[in-house]
Amino acid sequence: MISQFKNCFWKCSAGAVAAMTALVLPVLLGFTSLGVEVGHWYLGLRQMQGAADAAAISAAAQYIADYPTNPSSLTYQTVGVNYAATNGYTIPTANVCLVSASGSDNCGTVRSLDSRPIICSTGPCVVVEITQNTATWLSTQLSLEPGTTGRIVQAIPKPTLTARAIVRAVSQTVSTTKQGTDCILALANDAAAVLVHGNGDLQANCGVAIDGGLDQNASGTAVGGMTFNGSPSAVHISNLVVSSSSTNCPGAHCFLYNPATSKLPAANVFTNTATPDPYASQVAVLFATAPPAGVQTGGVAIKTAGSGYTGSGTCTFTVTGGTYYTTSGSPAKFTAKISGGKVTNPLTVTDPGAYTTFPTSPVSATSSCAGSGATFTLTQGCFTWNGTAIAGRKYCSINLNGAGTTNFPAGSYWIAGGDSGCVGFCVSSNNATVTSEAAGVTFFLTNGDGTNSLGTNSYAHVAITSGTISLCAPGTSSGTTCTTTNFGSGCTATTSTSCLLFVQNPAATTSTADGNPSSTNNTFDGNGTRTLSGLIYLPKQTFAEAGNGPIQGCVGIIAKYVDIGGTPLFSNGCLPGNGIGGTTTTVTSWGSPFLYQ
Amino acid sequence: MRMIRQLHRNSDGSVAVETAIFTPIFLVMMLGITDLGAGMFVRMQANAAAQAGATYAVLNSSTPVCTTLTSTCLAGIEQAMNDASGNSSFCSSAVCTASIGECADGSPKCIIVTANYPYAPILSDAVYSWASTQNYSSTITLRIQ
Repeated sequence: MISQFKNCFWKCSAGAVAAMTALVLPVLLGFTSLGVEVGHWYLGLRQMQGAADAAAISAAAQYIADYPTNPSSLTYQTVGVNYAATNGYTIPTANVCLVSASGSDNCGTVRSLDSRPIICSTGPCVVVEITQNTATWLSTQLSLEPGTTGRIVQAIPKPTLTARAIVRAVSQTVSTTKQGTDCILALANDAAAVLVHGNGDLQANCGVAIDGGLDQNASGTAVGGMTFNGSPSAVHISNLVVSSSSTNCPGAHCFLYNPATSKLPAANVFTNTATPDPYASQVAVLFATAPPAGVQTGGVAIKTAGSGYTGSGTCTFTVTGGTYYTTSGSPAKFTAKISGGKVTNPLTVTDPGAYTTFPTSPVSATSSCAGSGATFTLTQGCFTWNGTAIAGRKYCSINLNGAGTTNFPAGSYWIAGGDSGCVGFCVSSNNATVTSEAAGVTFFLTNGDGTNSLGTNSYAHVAITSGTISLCAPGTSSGTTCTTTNFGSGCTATTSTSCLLFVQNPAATTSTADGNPSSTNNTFDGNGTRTLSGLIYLPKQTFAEAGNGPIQGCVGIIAKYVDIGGTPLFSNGCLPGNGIGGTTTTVTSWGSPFLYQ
Repeated sequence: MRMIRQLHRNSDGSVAVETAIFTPIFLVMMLGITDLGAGMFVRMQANAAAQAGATYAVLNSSTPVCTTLTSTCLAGIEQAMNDASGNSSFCSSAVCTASIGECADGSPKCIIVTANYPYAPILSDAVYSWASTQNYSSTITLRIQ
């Protein structure tokens, strides 16, 4: 029987398929399992990567939220762990780390789990690492996988799957603007930077700021403050901001603007606080360029008489040549007498022109009387006020000392040094009425440079002693005319002179005390109504207001000294940009997350 | 009796018999593996689609397109999911959903994108429980604020 079995074992082919199947099937199943398992790995990797991306973006969102107030917060790690769990994976806190903007990181654990470099060329980056040990997966637990070492068959390997997400927080700059609430800024480092005296009542539907000693004079002890002289003197204001450590408000003279009978509360008074001059840079640009050059009064001489000029009366000549002063420039014009076809006698300069490059002699001119060949020599200098305002011109002074109405066309007026009749902008007649066009005017107060002016050391200032005045700066009128009833409630800064009414050269002679020397005193006095809309900028001199007539309108003041003897009424409505006391804070933070890897 | 003995000894046709026995077993195994692979492929498709939809929403979350879940945003998310799945009608066959709003943990804004794709195996559901007719779903939840 045994011998028969031996013979058959080697010779019989019966059951060969079953035997072969028994031998090959485990191998086939092994490879099949490997294929299934590898597919499972890739599926797992895919899911892990999605979860890592989601966790990293979520953690980055938390980091961005924390950064402005608590940049060292580690809450982002908790969020990363939570959102990894939400997407199906449990990871330890150390698997969420940060590469900071400086390049330092807390990613030691992440590196130990995954040898790939952490790519974050520009921090901050949030990194999330998810790992999975495949040894615990279903197919690796089947019988085909050896459980211990020493087995021959190593059918299915057990890699640790890793997925990493790096999310970079994109840098962004956020500017926060706080609108200023002040409309008066005194720059002197003097306890009497704002002096209210006599029956003076400074009424301001806004705040008063006094900055001496902090922003303007950083090296000195800040003493800038407000002084009252006379028992009726008072202020009715919204708040007071001073650079000194103490001030006279709250006190017997200090009231709220509204209700006017209420004392100014201590909460509305701020000491040891700087208020920078918000217009310094804007104005510096305006004076960085020389004023327009024009022909001074009487500054035309005949060089050659020419020929062929018709008539025997007066002809108008328009100068050719030169470069006009920006867009407001235009040629100079003058009149001359004609006799025998020749120019015999220049009469009057009717328009001084406005040039960047003044026409060089000999100067030709086109004539209203035909003819040709006449040439002239022009003398550059300020133009003496003749009663007719031409925008864009440089005047020695604007002296409104007579009765009648003077209307200023919109534009800029340069007043250079003053002259013997008026050192700057003067209104001295009770019957004078001064108005401007709705598009607004700006008066530049600067020093003289020609023979008609008081010279380079003389700076124009304002001397209003009477009259009815209604002037508006560009951007401050809401109507078609610039009158009391048409002043707007705001000013949009769109041009270099927007909202600026009187602007004095920051190089002007400095007031060493309130109104001292007198040439530095800018008076806005009188019994007439002075309605001004815009900013009066006198950073080195004194703004003085007195008289029974009020100043009204949307007017703001920046001056070294502010002297109040009347009842001016100020509001903040027409100040452009941040107003006075406003701030713009720029904060660099981190914005929308960017998926990096 | 003799005939029975001959039947035992005769090996003619044994291969055919064995093949007939093992072929169904192999077929069930092979089709099962095919179904398993197809299932994995569907799960990968759903996962890739959900990730792509979420990525689209994140990248456009700071623009008006996806500040909230506008129809334009939803259309963009679905397009991204179709592209990622390699199936231009993926979101027609599947249920693609998205939401942009407050997170479950109270954080201001979360994006949740889900792809829910139907899967039907070749073999009957009774053969393998792990390759039965079902919907494979993948959801990505992330916080952006």
